[in-house]
Amino acid sequence: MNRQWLHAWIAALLVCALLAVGYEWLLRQRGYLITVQDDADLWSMQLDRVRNSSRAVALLGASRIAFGVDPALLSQQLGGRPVAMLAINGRYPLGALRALADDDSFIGLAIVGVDARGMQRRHWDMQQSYFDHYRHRWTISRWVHRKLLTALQEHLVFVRSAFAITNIIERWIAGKGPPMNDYVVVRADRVGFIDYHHPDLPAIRASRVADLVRYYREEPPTDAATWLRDLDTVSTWVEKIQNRGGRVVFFREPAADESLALDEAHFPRDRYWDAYARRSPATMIDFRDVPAMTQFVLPDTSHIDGTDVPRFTIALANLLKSRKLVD
Amino acid sequence: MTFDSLTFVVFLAAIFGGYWAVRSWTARKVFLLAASYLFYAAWNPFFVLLIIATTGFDWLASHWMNRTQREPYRRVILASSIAINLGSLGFFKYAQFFSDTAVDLLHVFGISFEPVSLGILLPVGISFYTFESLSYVIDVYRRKIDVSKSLLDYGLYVTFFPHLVAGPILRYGDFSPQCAQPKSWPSAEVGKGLALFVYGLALKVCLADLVFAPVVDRVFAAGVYTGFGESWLGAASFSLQAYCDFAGYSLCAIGVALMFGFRFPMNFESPFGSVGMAELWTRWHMSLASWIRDYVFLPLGGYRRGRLRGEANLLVAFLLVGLWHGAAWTFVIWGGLQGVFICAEHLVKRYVWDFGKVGNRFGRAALAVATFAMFSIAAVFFRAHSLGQGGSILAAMFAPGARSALVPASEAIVAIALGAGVVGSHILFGHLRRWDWLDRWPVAPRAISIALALAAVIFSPGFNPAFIYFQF
Repeated sequence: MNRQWLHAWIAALLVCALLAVGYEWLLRQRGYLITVQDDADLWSMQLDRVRNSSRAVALLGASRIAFGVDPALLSQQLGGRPVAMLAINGRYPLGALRALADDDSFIGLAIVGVDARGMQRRHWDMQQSYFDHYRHRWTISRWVHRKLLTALQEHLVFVRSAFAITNIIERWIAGKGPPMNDYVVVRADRVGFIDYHHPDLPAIRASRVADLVRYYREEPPTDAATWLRDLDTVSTWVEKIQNRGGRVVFFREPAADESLALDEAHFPRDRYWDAYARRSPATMIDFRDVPAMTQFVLPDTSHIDGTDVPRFTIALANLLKSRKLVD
Repeated sequence: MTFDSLTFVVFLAAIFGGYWAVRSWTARKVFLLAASYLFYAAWNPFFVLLIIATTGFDWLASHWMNRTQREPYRRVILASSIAINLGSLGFFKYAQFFSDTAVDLLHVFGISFEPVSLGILLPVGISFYTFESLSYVIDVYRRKIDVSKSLLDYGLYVTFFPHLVAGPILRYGDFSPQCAQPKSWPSAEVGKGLALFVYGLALKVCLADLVFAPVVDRVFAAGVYTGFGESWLGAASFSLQAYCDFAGYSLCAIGVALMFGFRFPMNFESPFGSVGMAELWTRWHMSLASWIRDYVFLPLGGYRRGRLRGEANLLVAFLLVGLWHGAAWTFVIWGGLQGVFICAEHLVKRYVWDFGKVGNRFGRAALAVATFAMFSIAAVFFRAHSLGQGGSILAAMFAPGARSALVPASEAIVAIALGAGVVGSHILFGHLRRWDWLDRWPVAPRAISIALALAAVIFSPGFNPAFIYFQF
């Protein structure tokens, strides 16, 4: 390399290295945690794990599964079965079940964390974009990219989009201050650990309940007859998986206090969940029927604390074994 | 494998090391060709076979053409090669468009058909390498260039990875002498190439993806109503996004090629400093514009058969530019608007005011801003999901009373400030052509420019959206 260019490059690299070290130090000083940033590529890596294996376990669901079950621990508890975290925060999972049903390479056990609200037809397509991403954009080069990016995010705080310099400038202009300090730490296998020792816990809890109240005000529940009729289609997906040797479990995860009361008021268990359980080809488990599952504290009425994830995972493994859903 | 991915960083490091470690020039070219196929296979390995097949056929066709002196035979061979190349492009890129258009047309005549989803995957970069193949066989037919004696050189011309998926569109006449000349380490401008690569990445990763794309996505989201100010903001932001995305990619490609000792043509030369649309198209996507001029506009007759016929030829050429960009009527309208604007500009210059001769700096700056506004008006159809959406945004751009609140003020302020910076830099420094001036800079400004660009890349972690031009 030409000497002038070499000097220019050395100086530029030194400046950038100093800036990176300084920025990382500043972010850590402000208490920001190391966490992997979830995206469709990270999700696609998980989907790769459960294809073509009759021993595979696919964890479908939304935040309660994503922030409640440790796939590595579950795998260990189930004798080394491949376990994939396919739950997506904020998105109900029935579309994912449909996609797995349409994918002949899936012959394992699908655990679908969902409640009656999330089984309404209007929510079926919420995870479809992830499958579309897998089908049309997931390639070996994206796999390599995601592996390297995950490795960086496991060691550095600033390599997340929240800390992009343009985002910081826009927040400053808008008077929003620095980015919110994450209280969920996500691991490379997509399990998230919520830290509820957060000073704003009452605000988080109040906000969650308010969101649910608003949801039910804006989106009244589907009547039970229509809801059940719609689920006949879901039953065909279940049968498709089960006919080729797989299994499907619908698991209503723990909820408490206002969340549980609101859900029950709008989707009475006997008219919805239990009614479908009587006709569904899938195994259906409500947490209220499993004593071990009712023992957890849910600080925001809907999710367990990160420190409870191992205990919850083991309880789930024991449940699967006791129901003979795994060998 | 996109230039802004970590995969490419690893790939580039490995290929760069391997290339310079090999001593024999032929072995190096074989190595580059294999690397280029690997690069392409990262999207879809099946399509490597397609590119190998068309490369092989075009090379053979050029030899058959060269061997016979009988004009009718040469014409048949040329026609076969063009048919195969355009057939392949037509099948993969336009079959669905033509099928949908046929269904719509039949519907107009009262005949109903269910639209058929053909489910055809588009081989990435097919529009680029098809045009390169076509220019080669046509130039051999015209006896403008010698036939390629080496299949290896020709294969490298079509598939050399920096330009393979999004240009610049090369010409064999420019590339072939570079293949004949073995590269030695000192001749390769590694430091400069790497700097251009980082400048290009900064344009793409920081400006296109994080500054302009979010604004554009809000304004062009399906089903939203846009007012006067935000329609202009969205349109201008898309012009800037397209520029930063594609010029950024081109600069990366030019830089990477330079690291291997190859020189690619410039593809963008400060286009927003242009006075008038005709000038802008000599500085925007230059390799496509010159291709269309040489293989469409001039063969149609150019201006040789009169002004009116010339303007009609220009319109046809720009409609094809639009169709080349995408298989949708929105792209055709975009291309048509470019042609109409240039024809109108010719009329104004001829009969009203030859604004190209304005010498005053402020006057030229104002005209450049007006040109940018014209380009942005047309850009609405480039980005719109449908003609209806394009039409409603365009209508809002001419209805000053219409209001909307889609873009947060903070995003708008950053986009406007940096957009003004981009357009302003084109106006102020547009006279600096190519990147040769960079070699005359002392070390300090070089280091500062690299540090700024590198910092922009490092501190812009995002979600890695694809390059806009990969879809073409």
